[in-house]
Amino acid sequence: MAYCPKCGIKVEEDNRPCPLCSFHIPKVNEKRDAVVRVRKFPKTANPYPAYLRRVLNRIFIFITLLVFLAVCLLFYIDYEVNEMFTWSRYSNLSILAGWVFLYFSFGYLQSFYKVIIGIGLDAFILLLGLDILNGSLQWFFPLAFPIVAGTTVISISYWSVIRALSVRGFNMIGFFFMAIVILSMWINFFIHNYRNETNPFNWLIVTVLQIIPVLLVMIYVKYGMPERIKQKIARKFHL
Amino acid sequence: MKDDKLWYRLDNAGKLYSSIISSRATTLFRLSATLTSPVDPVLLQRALESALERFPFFKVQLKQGFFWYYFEGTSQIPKIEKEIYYPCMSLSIKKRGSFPYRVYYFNNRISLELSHSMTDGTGGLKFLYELIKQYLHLKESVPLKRETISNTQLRLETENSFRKYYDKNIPAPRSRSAKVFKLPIQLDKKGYYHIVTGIIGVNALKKKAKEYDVSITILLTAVYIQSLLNIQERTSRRKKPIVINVPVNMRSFFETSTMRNFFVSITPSIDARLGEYEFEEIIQEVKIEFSRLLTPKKLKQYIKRSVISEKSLVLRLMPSPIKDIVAPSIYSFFGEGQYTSGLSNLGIVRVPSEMEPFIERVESYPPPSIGNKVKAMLISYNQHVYISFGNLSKNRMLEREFFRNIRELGIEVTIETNDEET
Repeated sequence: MAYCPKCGIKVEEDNRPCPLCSFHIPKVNEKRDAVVRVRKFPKTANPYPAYLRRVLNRIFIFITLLVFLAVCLLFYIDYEVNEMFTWSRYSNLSILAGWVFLYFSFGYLQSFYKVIIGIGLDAFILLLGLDILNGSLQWFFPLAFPIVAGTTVISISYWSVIRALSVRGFNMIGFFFMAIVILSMWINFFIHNYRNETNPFNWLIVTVLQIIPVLLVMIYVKYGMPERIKQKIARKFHL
Repeated sequence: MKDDKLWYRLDNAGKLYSSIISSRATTLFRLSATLTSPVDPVLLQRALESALERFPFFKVQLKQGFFWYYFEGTSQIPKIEKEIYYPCMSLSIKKRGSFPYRVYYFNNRISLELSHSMTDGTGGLKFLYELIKQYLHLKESVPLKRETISNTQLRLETENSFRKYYDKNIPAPRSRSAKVFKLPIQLDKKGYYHIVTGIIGVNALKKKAKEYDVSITILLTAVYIQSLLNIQERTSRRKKPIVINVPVNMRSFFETSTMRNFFVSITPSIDARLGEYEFEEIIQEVKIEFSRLLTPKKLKQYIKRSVISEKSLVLRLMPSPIKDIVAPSIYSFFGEGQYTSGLSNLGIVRVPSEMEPFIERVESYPPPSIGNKVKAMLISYNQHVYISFGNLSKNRMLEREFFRNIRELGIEVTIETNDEET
C-alpha cells in the first residue's frame, strides 16, 4: 500500500499518478513486482461512435434513394411535357451535385484535405455544367473558375496553417477571419475584373482597411479580454 | 400464469425516469458483489434463472404505451454478459428485447445494473441478494432454506407503495426554487463514466460520527457540503446555495414489502451567501434538517408531492413520445437543476453467516446524470463503507476535495478508480 503525499489517501499501486490529484506517487514497495495484479475493470469498449456511424449511414442511404427517385421523376416529367430534356438538365445536375456534397460532408473520408478538394471539384463540375448547358461558356472562366479555385486553395492553406502551427482556441477564429477577408477580396477582384472596373491600387487599400479592424479585434481578444469572459466564450462555442 | 399477458404500470418515479433516458443519462445504477473466487458464467446464468423464479416482477421489458411507458411480462430470460463497457453505460432499455437491467460478470465480481425506472436501491439489493444466494448455492453448496412464496406476497412485492400511502388531503411541501451552485466541470465524451471509490473503515467513521453525536449519513453529507463550499470559494465569485439531494428509503418509515421505487428526496442545504461556515455549523444544520424532515408526517407530504405530478391532467393526456421530448428539460429545470449534487446511502448490507466467507465486498455506483455531473452513493458491508463517486466529467475536483476532507477528520481512506490500466 502506498500513500499520496498530497491527498493523504491510500492507493493500491505505487509508482503512478494519484487518481485524485495526479501527483506522482513514488515507488515505495520493492516486492510488489512479483505479485500479479488482477484487473478490477475490463478494457472498456465504447459503442457510441459505431452507433452514430450506423445512424448516419441510414440517413445517407435514405437520402440517396430519395435523390435518385427525384432525378428519375424530373427527367420523366420533363420528357413527357416537352418531348425532350430541357429544364430538368439544370435541376438534376444541381440535385446530383448536392448529393455529392452530402457524401463529402457525411464523414466517409478521413482526411480533411480530400473533403475540401472533393467539394471543390464538385462545385467545378456543377458550375461548368450549368454554363455549358446554356450552349456556350460565358461566365465560367472569368468568374466561377477563379472563385472556386480560390476558395479551395484558401481553405487548404487555412487548414495547413492551423495544423502546422497547432493553432488552438481563439486563434483559430482569428485565422478564420483572416482567411475570410482574403477570400472576399479575391472574389471582389474577379467580380470587378468581370465588369471591367479593375483598379488594383484601390483594391489594395480596401483590403488593408478591412484587415486592420480584424487584426485589432484579434489583438484585443489575445491581450485585452479578461480571462473569465474568454473562458465563457470558449465554453459556449466549444473551442 | 401466462407471463406475456402480464403488465405493470410504472410508479411515479419510474414514469419520470423512463422518459428522461438518453445515451448519457441512462438512469442505470450498479450494485455489485465481489466474491472470493472467479465467477462461473454457466452457474451464474442458472442462478439468474432461479432468482427470476423467485422474483417474477423482474421478468419484464419496458414498452411504450400511448400515454405512459409500462412493463410487459415476458417469457424471455435475460442473458448474463461479460463486462465490456464503462459502468452504468451503453444499455438502451427501450430497445426491443432488452431488459431494464443486466447482469455482468468480470473476474470475481458480479454486477447488477438496474434502471431506476424499475426499482430503487433497496429493491435492487434484494434481487442481487437472491442472485448471489442462488449462485453460492450452485457454486459453493451453501444450503438454501426452502421457502414458499405465496401469491399474496408476490402481489405485495409489486405494489405501488406511493399510491398506498398517498393522502389527497395533505398539502404538498412548499419548495423554494433558487439558483444553486453547480460544479464548473465539462462533460466527457459519450459512453464514458468515471468512478472513484473510497473505502473507509466503519468503526473509524462511527467513532467520528459519535464525536459529533450524529449518524454516518449526516456526517458524510456535512463533509460533502463542506467540500462543495470549499470548491465554490475557490472557483466562483458570486456565492450560491449548496443543495444536496439525499434520497430517503421510505421502507424504514412505512410498512411495505414492495420491490419497486419507494423513496423520496430531501434536500439539506447550506446558503453560502450568509457567510463562511465552520464544519460544526454545517453538521448542526444538516442534523436539524434531517430530524425535522424524517418523520412519517413530513414524509407523507413528500409522497404527496411525487404523486401529484403524475396526476396532472395535462401530463396524463400528453402522448408519451411528446413526454419524451419535454421530460428531460422539465427534469433538468425542476429536478436536477435544484440540486448541486446527490448523495445516496444504501445502508448496511447483511448476509447470513454461511454466505459471508464467499463475499469479499459489496459496492454501488450512482446513475449518471447530466444536471449533476458528479453524484455519490455509499454502501456498507463487513466493516467497510464503500463510497463511490460517479462522474460524467474527467475533472475530479469534488472527489479530491471530499476525500481530503475525510482525511483531515483523521479517517483513513483507500481509493480505487476505473481508470484505464496500462
